[in-house]
Amino acid sequence: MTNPFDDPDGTYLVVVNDEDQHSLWPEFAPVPAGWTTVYGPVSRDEALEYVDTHWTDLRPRSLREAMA
Amino acid sequence: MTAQENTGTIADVLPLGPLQEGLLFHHVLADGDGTGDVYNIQVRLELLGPVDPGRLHRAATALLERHPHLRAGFWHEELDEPVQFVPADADADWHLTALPAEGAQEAEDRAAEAEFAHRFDLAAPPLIRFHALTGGPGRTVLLVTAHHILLDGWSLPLLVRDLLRLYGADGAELEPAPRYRDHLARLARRDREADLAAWGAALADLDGPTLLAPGADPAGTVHRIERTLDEGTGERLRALAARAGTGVNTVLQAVWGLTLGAATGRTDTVFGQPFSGRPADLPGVQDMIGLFTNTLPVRVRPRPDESALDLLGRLHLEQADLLDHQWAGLAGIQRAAGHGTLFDTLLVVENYPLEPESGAAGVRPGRVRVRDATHYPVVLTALPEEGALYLDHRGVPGEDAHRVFALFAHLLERVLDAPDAPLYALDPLTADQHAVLRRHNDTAVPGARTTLTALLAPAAAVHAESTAVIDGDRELTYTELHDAAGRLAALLAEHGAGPEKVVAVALPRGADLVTALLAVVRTGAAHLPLDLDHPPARLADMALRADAVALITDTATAPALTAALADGADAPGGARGAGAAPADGDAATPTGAATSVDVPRGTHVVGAAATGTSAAGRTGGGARRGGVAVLEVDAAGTRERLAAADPLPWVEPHPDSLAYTVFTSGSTGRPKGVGVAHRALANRLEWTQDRYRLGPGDRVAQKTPVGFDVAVWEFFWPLAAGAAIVTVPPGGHRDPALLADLFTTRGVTVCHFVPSMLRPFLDEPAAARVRGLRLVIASGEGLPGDLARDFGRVLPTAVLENLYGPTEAAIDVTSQTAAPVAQSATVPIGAPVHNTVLHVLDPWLRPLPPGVPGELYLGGVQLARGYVGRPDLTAERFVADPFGDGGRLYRTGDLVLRLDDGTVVHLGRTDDQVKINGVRVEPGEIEAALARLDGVAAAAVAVRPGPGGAPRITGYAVPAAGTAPDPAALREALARDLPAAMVPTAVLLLDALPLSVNGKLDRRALPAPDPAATATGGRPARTEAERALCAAVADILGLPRADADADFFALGGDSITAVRLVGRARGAGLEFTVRDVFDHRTPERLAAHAAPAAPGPDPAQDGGDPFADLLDADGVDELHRLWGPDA
Repeated sequence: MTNPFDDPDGTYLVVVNDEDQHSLWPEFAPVPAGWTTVYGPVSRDEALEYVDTHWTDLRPRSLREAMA
Repeated sequence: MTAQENTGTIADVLPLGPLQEGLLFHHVLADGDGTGDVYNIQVRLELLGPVDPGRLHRAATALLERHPHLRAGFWHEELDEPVQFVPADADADWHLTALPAEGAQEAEDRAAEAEFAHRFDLAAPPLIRFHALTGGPGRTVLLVTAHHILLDGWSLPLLVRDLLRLYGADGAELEPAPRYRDHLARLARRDREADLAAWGAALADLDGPTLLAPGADPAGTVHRIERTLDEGTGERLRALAARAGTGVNTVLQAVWGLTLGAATGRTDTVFGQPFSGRPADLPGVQDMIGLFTNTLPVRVRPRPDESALDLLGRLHLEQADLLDHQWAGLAGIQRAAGHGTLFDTLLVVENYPLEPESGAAGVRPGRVRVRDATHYPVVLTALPEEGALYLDHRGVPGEDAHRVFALFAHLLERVLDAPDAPLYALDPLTADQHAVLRRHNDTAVPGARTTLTALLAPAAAVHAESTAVIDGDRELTYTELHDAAGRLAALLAEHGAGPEKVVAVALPRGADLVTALLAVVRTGAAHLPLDLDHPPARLADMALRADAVALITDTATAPALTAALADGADAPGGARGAGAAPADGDAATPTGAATSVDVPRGTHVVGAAATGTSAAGRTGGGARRGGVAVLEVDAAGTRERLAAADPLPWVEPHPDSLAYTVFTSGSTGRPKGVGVAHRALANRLEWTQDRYRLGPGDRVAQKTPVGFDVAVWEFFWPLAAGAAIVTVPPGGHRDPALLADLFTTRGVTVCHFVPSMLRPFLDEPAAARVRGLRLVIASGEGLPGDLARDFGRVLPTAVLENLYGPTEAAIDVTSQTAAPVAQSATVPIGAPVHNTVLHVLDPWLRPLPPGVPGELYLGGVQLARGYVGRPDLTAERFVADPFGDGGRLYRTGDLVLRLDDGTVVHLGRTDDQVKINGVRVEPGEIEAALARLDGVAAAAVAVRPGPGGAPRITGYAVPAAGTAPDPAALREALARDLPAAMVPTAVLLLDALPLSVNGKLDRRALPAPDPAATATGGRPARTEAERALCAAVADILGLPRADADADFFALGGDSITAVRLVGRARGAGLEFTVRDVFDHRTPERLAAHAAPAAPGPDPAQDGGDPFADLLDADGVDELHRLWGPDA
């Protein structure tokens, strides 16, 4: 049983929430409330590559702002 | 006169059709089981008018004369291929009963039931019985009951028609009937290989069978549930079929496939469906009586983004490709698909004409009722023209059957409502089911405190003089502990510790470890616990990758760790944190505490290990190594600094700041660090306290190695509750006698066990004397029910709690009290903790109803922030919550199902991860470590149950060209990189890794390390019986030879060939059943099990075309000898 996030041949989006947290997202499913597509549809590798280069601080935005 | 004596001479010998072979197999299997054979078919024909029973009897006999194969018997013993033989004698097996005036209907029903339950011996024809029941004036009921191997449902109306015509003719000549024999002859000429190849292609990539009721009792009574499709539904069904350009059958196939998917959590389903099997180009085929129908797999593979309409079109096309191959036998198809049993449900769409001919000789047919049986646990029968649906189930709990039937009706409605909507939107759950799931996740409890600091600081004041830590003879009060921690915190702060910084702690279990961890909390930093049992290189890698500002250790451990830190920071592409630090390699700078904090981090020399740790100790214990300040708590310099320091006031971190980081095995080749925030940990501790109420009188054992997140609560729960920590000496957690003694002498009330350690603890006689223990928490791996039961016996006054949680959520997210559910094989993992939701989702991210296995997703406040320094891994495991508003879910990779009460049962993993003594192990990480070693070109790892059932890791290495690595040396090298639990017990060298057809590693094909355990065997036959069986196995499976210890099924045997083996063995004087072949598997064990057969004939000769052979002397003579007049 393939998990929808693990399909090497699947098509994915990168979605982001208000805390700047990033998530891989399978294209077939509707983007959940509170999340916005920032990249894709692309291959899984491309989506993860995007995450790796664009999500450079894993702290949630509210924490980042509180510490600033 | 018995049937056997009555059969007379053999008129004809025929091969079997594919479904006949399958039915023969089931018959033989049931024979061996003693469970009886259930594959009968029955027509109950009501005849109105003045029936002459004698004439009806003659008509029945005439029917058997007209259709010779209805007289057939079946024989498989001592033959390469089973055959059907047609006795020359055609006298019908006839019974006549007069129904009583009172209770005629009941008597009729009883007679029908008894006939239907009649157990035919396939070797003793006739396999068809006629039973006339004469009742009131002008009404006779004729029961015709036959073994299904003779004829199919389509044939029944034909049989009734012919019977009535023969009754009318009463001996007069009718035109000749089409010959079933011609059909069998054509079947025997088919290209079976081409048929199987087509099926193999159609079932390629199937990831497993679709079993709705694995383990259902095939001998159970059949229960029928009925539903009626209302007029509107029937009409819409036909309209959708017309719109899709298919038939109603295709719509029902699609919906049954979706139903099975929703009921089993699969998106690729297979079920069986009988196909008519009547080749259109065979003359007279529509009038033939016989078994044509063939049960074939139907694969329904919906895609989430296609509509129902798209799916119908695709299904239709996929099946059109297979039309020409519908005569392949199911056993062969299953073999071609490589999965054994593919399905356990059947869809039957009946459209055969049940309108019998008009009457004859003053007799006209009344009601005609057909009864058919199968061995499948669930059979859905649809009669679209009548709007009727039946679900027949056997050996399946009634509520499950009702649930599946309701689901089918529900999905049919949804498909008819929205045939253009994408399939993922086709919600398999009802509004009620959604409401129930929401209730199970209603766990909101506002947390009073949201940081660890807010939990610990008040307890320090309230319980000032209470005992906080007991470490052997050393005891610290809360005041003493917090004072020491405060001073150490001051030093850490000087080294840069604070919120969102990480401090690594590498100390042996004891009071100093507790102090160090508390000191880290006090600074607001996150602690990174390092388990000293792990190799220094691994620990250094963790500290560097977590970007630790400081490392608290002692003088005993510092040298190895400091050297490893220097190596790790130097390693190209090594650690993320320090890898960025400029390293000038030789400008060693021995540093004192004062300067180290002043010097910007990362500018220090990574290769500074050359300065030695003694320098660090001399200069006050604070030396920065590759950006990490190494602090030795027992160094003289540190002691001086501590004595001089003022305790650091508590630094209150933001609730979303990290409280700790723990590393866990990573499937991509290196351990990954999980960062958990204060809010998450505080929630977990508040829930624990709410549920288990720890108090000042409690003593909690700290026995868990620190690399395991369980240790986090062992430290901080007691310190938040005013209880005392009793530290177990280093290594003592593996010593049941030591633990029992320590628990008794120190009055431990609460402790944790990984189930695989709880077992030896309970087996320790002294454990029963640990009277003070009131609560034992088990987690880390499945809790077996028998262990929970033993716990109740050994420690009757203690409560055993089963907790579950991945490292990626603060320690535990579910709990279950073991005692009430200890009867189950494995104790459920239970219900969610506060502010935590559990979702069991299908591969399309839709919630699954109770009872259906799916992957567990976690949501709520306890989720970790993610993987330290790995945004990519974080984004693929911590994913957008489809049911929330901007939140995330962690997908666990755990396969679970929910029970009706909402509690969750853990079933296994969806990936390769295993637990070894509670330690999470990713085979991929071991493979990567092995592949990195010199001389290794490729590597693989297999985890199998070892002696006693515990998992055992075997490594496989393919040597690089021109090298010949020593397996033992490879294993030793791994032990330098990996924790003990992850080091393979053996490393084997292979020329190449076995690959599956799609080019992936085929783990199942990796050779087992112990040659004695292999399936291929290796021991030649010794006894006469073994020799005979080895020869038979080799011959039947087409092998040059078979060894005595070779597994029949591993060699390629299956159910059908097992039948042949039984037959051949019997010929050699060895008696066993097909079930025995499944149970005993090797010639050696079968020979030992076999009873000597009753004196039998010589074995039939082998070889050649079976159909041709059977008609020549040997085969027929054999049958005559057994069944003929001389017998």
